[in-house]
Amino acid sequence: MDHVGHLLGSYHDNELPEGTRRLVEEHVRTCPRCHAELSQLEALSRALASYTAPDPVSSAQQFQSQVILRLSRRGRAAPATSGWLYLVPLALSCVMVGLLALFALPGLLGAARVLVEWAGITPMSLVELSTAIPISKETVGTVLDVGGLAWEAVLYAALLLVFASYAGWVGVLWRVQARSQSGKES
Amino acid sequence: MESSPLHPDLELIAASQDGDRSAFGALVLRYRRLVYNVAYRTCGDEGLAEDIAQETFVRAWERLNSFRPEGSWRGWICRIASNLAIDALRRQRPQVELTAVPLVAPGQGPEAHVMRDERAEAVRSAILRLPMHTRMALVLREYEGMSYAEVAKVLDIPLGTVKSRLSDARRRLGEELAPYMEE
Repeated sequence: MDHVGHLLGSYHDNELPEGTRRLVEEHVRTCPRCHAELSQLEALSRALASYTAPDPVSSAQQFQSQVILRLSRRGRAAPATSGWLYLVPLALSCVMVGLLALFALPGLLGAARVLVEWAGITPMSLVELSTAIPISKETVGTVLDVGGLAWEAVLYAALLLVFASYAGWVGVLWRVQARSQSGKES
Repeated sequence: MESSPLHPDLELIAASQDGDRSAFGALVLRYRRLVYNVAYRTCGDEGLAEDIAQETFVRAWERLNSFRPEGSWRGWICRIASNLAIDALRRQRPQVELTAVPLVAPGQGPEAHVMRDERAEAVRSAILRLPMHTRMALVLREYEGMSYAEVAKVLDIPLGTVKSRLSDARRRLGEELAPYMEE
């Protein structure tokens, strides 16, 4: 077996797989050069062990008090679960924008159609779009599987739900922040 | 929460993440020595090591939410300490040139304890002469007994780099400390 100098550090640190470790062990037993290198590593570890860190300047209690005092000045850890809370307004905003678009889209398309007709322009795409997708209260009502004007009630209810959720989220966030502020000084 | 040593780390960490300062205080007491030792062996100065240790815990508190329970708290806190120690050394470099750290000549003291002190001082000086990142790897492995994988995680380097840094550190120290290794 060739010399195993490149493996001696890992062998010394007990970081070799079992099979390789045994091979290195057997080799070192019969190879004076690798044996000497390993002895050097062991001697170095012993020398390094002679260097002990002195005791810290402050006592354990003093150290702890100083750290806690600095925590007060530097702020507190936010609760671990608060991260997702900040996504809630974003999600609610998306829902609200969607619902408002549902309300406004038929009117906007109609207004756009009137405008372009008034201007004497007939952009094909807009005309095609408004005829191909005739968005109206009736269409929305069909999609939502409700008849007549009931779709409006559904949309108003949905908006109410969104606002209620928003208020609920604000309440949760307020509670979490209040809990964090108290710092649980138990 | 009581700071009883019976409380496992994860319990204290969870309470700390929830804002419980007394739980965090218990963690401070439990890991103070480890953090101080890493800082001291890296920078070689008691006052600076104490500052680094305090700042380590303050940073840990501020970043507690980024700690995941499946990770190693010891490794996580050592990583903060290592980064702060490296930053501190970078800031200090113009004032304290590490190559200027004197290497005590062997055999100057007749008494055995003087020899021991000399050897410890020689080791300290030799460690401080190592390049910063090499020194960090050596401190974590040799003094804190971390595995190569742990060292790699703390220093955010590949396993092969850990091995090469340790090998480099030992080669340099072996040369510098040869007179002290025969005892």
